Amino acid sequence: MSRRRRIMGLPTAVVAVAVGLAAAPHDARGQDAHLLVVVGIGGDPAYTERFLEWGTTLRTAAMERYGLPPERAVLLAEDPSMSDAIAGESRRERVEEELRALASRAAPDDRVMLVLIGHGSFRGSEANFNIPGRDLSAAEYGALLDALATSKVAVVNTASASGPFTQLLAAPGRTIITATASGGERNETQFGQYFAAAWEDGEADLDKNGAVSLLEAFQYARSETQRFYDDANLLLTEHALLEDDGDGEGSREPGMDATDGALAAGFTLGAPGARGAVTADGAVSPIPATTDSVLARLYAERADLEGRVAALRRSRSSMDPDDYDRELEALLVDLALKSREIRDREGGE
Amino acid sequence: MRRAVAAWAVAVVAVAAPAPAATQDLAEARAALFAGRYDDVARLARGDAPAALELRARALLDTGEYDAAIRLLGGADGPAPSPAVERWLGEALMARGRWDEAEAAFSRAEAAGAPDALSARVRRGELFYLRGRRDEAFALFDTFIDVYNGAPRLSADDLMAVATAVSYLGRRTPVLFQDALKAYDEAAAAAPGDPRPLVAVGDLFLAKYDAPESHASYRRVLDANGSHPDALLGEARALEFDGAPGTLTLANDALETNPNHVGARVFLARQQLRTEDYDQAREQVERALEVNPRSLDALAVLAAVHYLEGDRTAYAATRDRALALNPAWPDLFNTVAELAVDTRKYADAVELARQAVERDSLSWWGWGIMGMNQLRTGRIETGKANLERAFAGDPYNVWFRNSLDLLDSFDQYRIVETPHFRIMLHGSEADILEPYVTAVAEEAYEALRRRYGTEPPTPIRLEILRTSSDFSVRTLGERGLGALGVSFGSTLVMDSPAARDEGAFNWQSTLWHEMAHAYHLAMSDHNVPRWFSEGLAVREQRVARPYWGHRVSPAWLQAYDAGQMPPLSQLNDAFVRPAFPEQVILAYFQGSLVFDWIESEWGFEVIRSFLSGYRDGRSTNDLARDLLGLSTSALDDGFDDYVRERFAAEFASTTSGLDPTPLGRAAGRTGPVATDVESLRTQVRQRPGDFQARLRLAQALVGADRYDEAEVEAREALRLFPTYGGPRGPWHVLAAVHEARGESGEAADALRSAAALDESAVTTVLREAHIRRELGDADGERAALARAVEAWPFDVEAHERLADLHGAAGDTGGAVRERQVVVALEPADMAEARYLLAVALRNDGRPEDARTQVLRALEIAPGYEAALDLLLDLRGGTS
Repeated sequence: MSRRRRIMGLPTAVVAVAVGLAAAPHDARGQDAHLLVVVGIGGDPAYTERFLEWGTTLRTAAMERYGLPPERAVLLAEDPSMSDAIAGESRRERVEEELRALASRAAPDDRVMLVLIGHGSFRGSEANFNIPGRDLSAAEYGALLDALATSKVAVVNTASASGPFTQLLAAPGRTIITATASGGERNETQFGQYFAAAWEDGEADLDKNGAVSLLEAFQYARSETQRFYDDANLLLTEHALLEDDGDGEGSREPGMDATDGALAAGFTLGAPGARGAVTADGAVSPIPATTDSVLARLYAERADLEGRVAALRRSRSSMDPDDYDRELEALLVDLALKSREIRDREGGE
Repeated sequence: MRRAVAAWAVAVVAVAAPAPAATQDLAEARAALFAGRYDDVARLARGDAPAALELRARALLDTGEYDAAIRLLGGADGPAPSPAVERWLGEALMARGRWDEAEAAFSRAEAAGAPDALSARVRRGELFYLRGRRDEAFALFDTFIDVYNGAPRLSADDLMAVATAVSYLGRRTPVLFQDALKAYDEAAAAAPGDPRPLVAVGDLFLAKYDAPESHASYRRVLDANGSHPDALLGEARALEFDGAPGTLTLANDALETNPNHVGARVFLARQQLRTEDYDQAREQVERALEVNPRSLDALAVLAAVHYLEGDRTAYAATRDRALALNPAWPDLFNTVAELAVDTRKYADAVELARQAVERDSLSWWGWGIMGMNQLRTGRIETGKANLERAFAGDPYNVWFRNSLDLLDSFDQYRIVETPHFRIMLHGSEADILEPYVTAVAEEAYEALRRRYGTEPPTPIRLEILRTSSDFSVRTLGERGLGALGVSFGSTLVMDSPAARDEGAFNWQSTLWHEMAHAYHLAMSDHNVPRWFSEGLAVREQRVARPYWGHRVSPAWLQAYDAGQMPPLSQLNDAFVRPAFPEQVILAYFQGSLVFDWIESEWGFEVIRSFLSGYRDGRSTNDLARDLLGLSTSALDDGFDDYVRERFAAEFASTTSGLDPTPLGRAAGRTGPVATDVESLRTQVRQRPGDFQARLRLAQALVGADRYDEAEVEAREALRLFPTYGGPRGPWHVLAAVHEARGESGEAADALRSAAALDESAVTTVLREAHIRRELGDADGERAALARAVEAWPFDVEAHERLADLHGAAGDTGGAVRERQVVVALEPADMAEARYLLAVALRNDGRPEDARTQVLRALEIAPGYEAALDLLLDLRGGTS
C-alpha cells in the first residue's frame, strides 16, 4: 500500500475475456457504445507490458462491467502475440481500418470512445501518438473521426505530450481528454493507468448514481495521478485536461457547472448499477422507465428534488453557509424519504 | 669641500650598510614578496631606500615579525626613515595594538604628503572606528568619495584606500559595496600580483555571503603564494561558510607562515569554542592577545570563553576591557551571542544581541542574531520584524533572506492548540497529521513529565515543516541540514513525514526525541552537553516504544571495536568535532547506551541529578565522581565493560566479518565479498561465527529457492546477532522462507519480529498486515496497520482498513480518527469517504458531526441511497 490506492498492485492477466452480447442489466441502449483502445509502441519491454496491461484493463472492464461485446471493444497493440485480447497490430493502417469500420458501423446516436495509451511526441506544431511504423498525427485522427456518423465521440490520449490534441481535435459534441496540458510535458505519464482503472468497479462512481461517466473517470484519474506523485515526493509533471465545449481550451478542473464537463458528465459506456436508464445521448436518466404510474410519479418527484439540490449547489457561493446547509438538509431529507418510498414501492412491484 | 665630506659620508654609509638594491633587484624582491619567498625579499631589497624598506617591512608583516618591522622603520615613536614608509610603521604598530603610536605614524604620513597618504588616512579612519568614534570615522571615510570622483588617476594604494573607506560607508548604504568592489578590482589591475587587493576582494565577497567569488579571489593569491597567511585564513573562512572540511588545516597553515597572526588564532579559537574545547580556545586567544592586547576580536572570543564556561565575573572583566577600548562596539556581544547559539543558549543570544544593537543601531548582524533567535524561542512576530530590519541593512545576507522567505510561507500553515502545545501544521496535511500529532505530543509531554518530575515552559511550539529544505532554513537559515528535528527548548521544529520518502524515518519517534530535549534543556538551563542530551533522548525513544530509536549495528560494533569511537568521557567530541562523517550517527546510539547503563545501575534519579548539576555549571567528570562514585577513567572503563558484556555476541559475530562495513574497511579490515551460494558456504565454513557471512548466505539461499537451508542459516545468524535491525536481516529471510512454504502464521510472526527492531519498517508491517488479513487475524492486522500509519500516514487503503478493524473491535474513536484521515487524504470518491466518516461518527455517539458529514457526502452525490438512509436515521427516521 502507499499514499495512492494500489489499484494495479497485482499484475492483470493479459487475456481476452469472452463475454456474450448481453447488455448491462439496466442499460437498454448499452450496445450503442463502441470502444477502440490503441496501445502504442513501448520502446522498452517494461513499458510495452505496462501499456498493454492498462489497455487490457480498460477493455475487460468495458466488456465485463458495461457489457460491450468483444467486437465493439477493440484493442490494438504493438505485439499481437502478447495476448489473445489484441485484435491486431497498432500500425496506422490498422488504426485507420478500425476507425473506418466504426464510421460505417456506428449509428448517429452511438457513443464512440477512442483511447490512446503509450508515448507521445510534439515537434514544432505536430503532435503525434507513437505507434509502430509511421505515427498518426492529431490532424489525421481528426480527419478519421470526422467521418463518423455520430458526434458523440470521446478521445482520450493518455500519452506524454498529448496536450495539443485538445485543441486539434475539439469539435461540437466531442470530448477530448489528454494526460498533459501541453506538448512540453514529455515525461512518462501515469494518467492512463488510473483512467483505465476508473472503469473497473464502482470506485470512480463519484456521484453514486450507479454509472461511471467520462467526467468521473477523468476526475478519478486526475486525483489518483496527483496522489501517485505526492506519494513519490515528485513534482507533478502531467496536468490532465478535459475539453467538451468545443472551444479547444481544455479545463484542469471540469465539472457539471464549469466551462467544460457537462457533456462528459453524460457520457458513459453504460450503467450497470444505475437506477435509471441510459438515455439516447448516453447519460443516465434520473427517471427510469416503468409501467407503474405511482412509481413514475415518484421517480419524477425524486428527479425534481435532485434537480433542486443541483440548483441549490450552484448557488452555494452566494448564500450564507448556515442557510445553505439548512436548505440542503431539508431537500435531502425529502429526497431520502422519496427514495425510501420508491424502494418500498419497487419492492412491492 | 662640503661636497667632498658629503661624498665621504655616503661612502661610509655605503660601506657600513648593505649596498642599495638595484632597480632590478627591487623588482625581484617584489616578485619574491608576492610569491611568499620572504627570505629572498630581505636579500634582494637591500638598503634604506623607501621602496626597499617597504618591501622588507611587508615581508616582516606577512611573517608576523611585527617588532622587527617596527625596528626596521625607526621604532615605535618614529619618525620613520622616510615619510613613504610611515604608513608601514603604522601597520606594524597596529598589529601590536599600539594604536596611539600607529595613529601618529599615519598622521605623519599624511602631513608629509607621502605617496600613500590616502592609505594612511583610511587607516586613521579605521582607528576611529575601532575606538568607537564612528561619526569621526564616517566623516573621514566620506571624503574618499570626492577623492575617487575628483582624481584623474589613482595609484593602487589609493584605490585600495578608497575601496576600504567605501566598504565602511556600505554599512550605512549597502549599495556602496558595489563601488568598493569596483575600486578593489581597479587596484588589483593597477598592481598586478599584489595579493592585498585580491584578499580584500575575497573578504568583501565573503562579507556579502558570496563564497564562490571569495574562493576565486583567495585562490588567485594562493596560486602565486601558497603560504600567504591572509589568503589562507580567508579561504578557511570561506570553507567554513560552505560547511566544508579543511578549515583548521588552512588556519594552521596561516600560522605556519605567521605565528603571530591574530586573525588566524581568533578563527581557531572560535572553531574550538564551537566544539566546546574551552581550554584550547582560551590558549589560542591568549596567544593572540599577547601579540595584540587591543584585538577586539580576540577579546570578544575570550569573553565568549568565559561566558560559555559560566564564569560571569571573568566575562564581565573581559567585556569591560573591550568596551574600554571601544564603548560602542557591538560585535563583542554579537560574537558571544553567536557562540552562545552553538551551545543552545538561544535566549541568551537574544539578550546579547539586544546589547549589541543598543550600542550600534547599524549592527545588522546584531539585529539578525536577535531576530533569528527570537524565532527559535517562539517569538515569531518580533523575530520577523527584527530580521526584516537586519535584511534591510544587509540585503545580501542569504540566511536572513531564506528565513524571511520561509516566514512568508507560514500563512500556509495552521495552528492547532492542545493543553501544552501550539502545533503548526501545513494546510495541505494538517487534517492528516492532527489526530496523530496531538495525541503523541501530549503523550510525550505527560510521560516525560512523570519521568523527569518537572515541566518545560509551555505552551511548547511545535512546527512540522512540509519540506526538509524549509526545516533546514528554519533551523540554520540555509538549506542542507540532514537532521530530522531540532529542539530550541520550548520550540521544536521538525520534518513532516511528507518531507521524506515512505519508510525513511518515523516522525513520531523524532517528535518524542525532540520533546526529551525540551525537558533536558529546561532542567539544565540549556547547559546540558550535546552528547548527554542526544543519548538520553534516544533512550527516551526506546522507553516510549521499544521499537523506536537507534539500534546496535555492525557499523557501530566495528567502529567501537576498532577504537574509532571516543570513550564515554569524550563522547561529546563525536558530536561537535566528528572524526568521520558517520561518527555522529553512531554516537547517538552509543550515547543512548550510556543511559541504559546508568539507569540500570544507579536508577533514573541520578540522571535527573546530572541535569541539575549541569544547570549549576558542573562538568560531567565532576558529576560522575559525585553521583556515580567513578573517576573519569573508571567511568570509561565501566561503560566499556558494560557494552562489551551486553553485546558480547554481536561483537564476536561482526568484528571478524568477511564483509566489513565502510568503517571497518577504514579501520583496515578487508575481505572479499562473495555473492554465490557456494562461495558464501565456503566462507561460512571458514568463519562459522561470522554474522554477515551467515546472513549473506541465508539471503543467497532464499534467492536460490533453497528455503530449508536458508532457514538454518538465518536462525544461526539470528543466534549470532539477535538484535540486528538492518535491512534484509535474519527475520526478513525467515519471513520469506515461511511465506514460500505457505507457513503464513510463522511468516507474519517473523515480519513482526523484524519490525520490532526497526521503527520505520512500513513495508514490513504492511506485508504482515496483508498476511494476517488472509489468516483472519484481525487483532494482528490492526496492530500491524497501526504501526504502518504511525510512520507513514498517507496511505489511504491502510487508513480505510484500519478504520474497519477499529470499528469491528469496538474502538469507535479509533475508527473516527482513521476515517477523518481518509477524508483529509482527499480520495477521488469523497462522497463515500464522508459517508463512512459519518457512519463512524454516529457509532461514536456524535450524531451532529455525523449529520454534517453526511450532508457533505450527499452534496456530492445526492442519489447516494446509503447516505440518504443515514441522514434519516440521524434525524430519528423522519423529517
